Amino acid sequence: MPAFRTALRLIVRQWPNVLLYVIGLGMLGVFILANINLTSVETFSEAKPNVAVIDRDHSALSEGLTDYLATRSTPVALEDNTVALQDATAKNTTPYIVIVPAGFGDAFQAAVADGAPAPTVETVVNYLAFTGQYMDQVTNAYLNAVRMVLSAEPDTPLAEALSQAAAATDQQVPVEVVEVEGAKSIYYKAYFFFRWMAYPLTAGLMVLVGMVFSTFMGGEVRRRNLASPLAPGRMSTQVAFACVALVLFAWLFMMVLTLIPATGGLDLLQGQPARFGILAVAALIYALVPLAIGFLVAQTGMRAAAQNGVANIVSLGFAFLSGIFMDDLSLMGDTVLKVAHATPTFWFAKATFAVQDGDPMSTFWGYNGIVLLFAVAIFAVGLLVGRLRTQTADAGGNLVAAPAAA
Amino acid sequence: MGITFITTVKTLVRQRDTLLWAIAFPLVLCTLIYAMLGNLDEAYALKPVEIVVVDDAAYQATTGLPEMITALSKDTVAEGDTAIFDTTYVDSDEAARQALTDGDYTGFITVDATGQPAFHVDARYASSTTGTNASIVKIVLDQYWQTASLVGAMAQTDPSLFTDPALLERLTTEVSYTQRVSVTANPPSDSLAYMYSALAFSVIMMMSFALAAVEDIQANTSALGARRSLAGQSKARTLAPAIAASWVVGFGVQLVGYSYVKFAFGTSFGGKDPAVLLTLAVGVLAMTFTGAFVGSLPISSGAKSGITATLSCFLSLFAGLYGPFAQDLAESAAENAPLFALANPARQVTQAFHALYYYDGYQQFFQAILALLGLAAVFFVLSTLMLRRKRYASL
Repeated sequence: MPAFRTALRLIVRQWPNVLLYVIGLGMLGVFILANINLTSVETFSEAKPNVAVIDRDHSALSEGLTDYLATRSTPVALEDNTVALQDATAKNTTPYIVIVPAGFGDAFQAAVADGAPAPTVETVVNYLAFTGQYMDQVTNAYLNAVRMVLSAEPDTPLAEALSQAAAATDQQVPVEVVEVEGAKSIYYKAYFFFRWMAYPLTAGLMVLVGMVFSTFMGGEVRRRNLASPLAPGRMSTQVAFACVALVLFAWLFMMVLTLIPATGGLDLLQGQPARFGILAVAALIYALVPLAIGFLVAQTGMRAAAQNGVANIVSLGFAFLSGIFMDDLSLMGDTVLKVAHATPTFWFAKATFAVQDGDPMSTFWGYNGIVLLFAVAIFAVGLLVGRLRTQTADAGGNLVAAPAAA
Repeated sequence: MGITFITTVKTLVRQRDTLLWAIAFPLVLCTLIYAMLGNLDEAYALKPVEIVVVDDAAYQATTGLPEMITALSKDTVAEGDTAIFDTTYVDSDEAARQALTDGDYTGFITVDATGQPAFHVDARYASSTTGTNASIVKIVLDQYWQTASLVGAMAQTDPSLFTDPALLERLTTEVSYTQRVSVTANPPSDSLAYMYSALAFSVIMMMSFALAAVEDIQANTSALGARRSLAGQSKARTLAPAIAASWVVGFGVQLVGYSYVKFAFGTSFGGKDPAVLLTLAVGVLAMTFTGAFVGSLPISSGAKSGITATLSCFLSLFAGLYGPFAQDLAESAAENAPLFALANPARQVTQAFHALYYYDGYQQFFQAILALLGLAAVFFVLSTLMLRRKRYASL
């Protein structure tokens, strides 16, 4: 197996690319997941968005509101200046800011007492409209409770009204968490990571496989190889085996990454081993796609730098189109969704979503079948391109002889 | 030097595959982002929360809850008010649970024999990170229950209070005490952040031109470099125009990308175009010197290309390119490792665009520009140290 060993040596010599693409990009996924804080869903946890209160009133009411909001959100200290407010909104560090204008407490009491128009606090919301809606409700709930106490008994001292309102806002309705089949959010990270794998597998395998085939198909080397006693067919088979070994290595490495606690793979393996198993199979099937693309790219005779470029474009493009970065296919527009259907990563993502949602196995295997078809089709195109290229003058094919014959 | 400059520009432009990918890559990426995330702001816009209500005798027996849910629901909301719920009614608890399995609802509402409402949330929407919708449902129910409890307590203390229907009406009619204001120069947008990150990504890729140019002047990395080192030209007089040419080509490529996202997609930069051009110019300068440094490293060409590609991917992670998780990660990294954020050109280019869009003044913008200039200076010194007085194959 001399060609097999040589191909493996070539791959080992490409360790920077293995390190950067397969290991580096794989670890990026781990890194992202390590920074996602998903709480257990066995008990309901209310959203606690970062909220800042800019208190320009400093009244008992504004302080009561500040204290109440702190119980329903994550309080953030913010300076009262335009740049700080813009900063917090633009960087999404504080999606909700309440500005209590000076005189708000007095105006509030006056409005309740004589029916004057209600004063308002100013709220700043960035693009997260849901958070704005939620926190508006929270703010209004407290102020309405104070209003009710003061309306019912106008002589109640403000401090007393505030404490009654605080007691009233302690009343909360009971919440039950309903587990729907396939919605085990504790495995959410694992599913995300399985989808993420498509990115490092595509980029890494495309570059490495492309490089191996390019080296063997390159002009001078190829001519020398053809002169060797090893039959071309056997040589190609051995090189292909080396690439398959590479695919297995990359896939195995991804499986090892799933055992890092941050990826949640171990939880899935222990909780739902069958699902883990079929996801692993889906990832292996998917890995054949970049193998085929790498082969195709190498057949075109592209240079190493350009192959790197193509690998980046294809891997990022597929990842974006298939929604693996967004982790939500519903966020995609209809047109994009149509385009996405033409990418194998989309079908791989669909297969993982099918497992996550507990869809029938036939659906899951159907999606994997499409992924496999993509791999076969791309490989076939690669063979065709390679065939045409061997006939060019560059490669020493029939076209070299053609002018002489004429 | 003029001839070296012109020749390097020609050489770089003639490397069609490198040039093509340097231009095509940002264009394709921006198109993808526009197509994928262009409607992201729409996705974050307020949509009614889909809930199921068990409409049984206990629910109907409560005071005010059916009316409140109706007033907040999509098809029955008063004109001009915002619908908070998209409500589906069922007649039993079992039917509600079945609806959760069959459809995509946040949860369902029931009322017990005492008249207290309860919220049954789908586990998918029950965590604090996924459950803003569920929290909205809960706070609305809490608010109802608080009002009902408060009225009940008042009625117990002083029943005479409620002989006046007008007072009761006044007590239970919700008042809105909040008013939205905007503090940024332009409305906040999430999809813009990705477009800015994609442009920053392409700025990082401009390393490849300087890398190729520097490889072409080193005697031990290319045949051309070997020939050029024999010429009676000092290293500085060869290097300076090569770097300048790389910057010109890189900046030209960025102009194409910038024009594309601005005119084809209408991406806004806050109307401060000269400042955007300055950002691109300084960003490309920083990456040109970084590329020159990578080009001067004693490693194979393939490894250098790999470093360029991976640096683009890695640094872009901390500029928030890869989706909402990466955006959060970028902000958290900037907070916990400010020096790393300061030294990350992708982050600084993104920050400069952000500053132009969101802020009235230029303070943050110039901070980002200064960081990029600092980075350019550091890599200028490093690449000079690597390249000057270099000896090849000598004792």
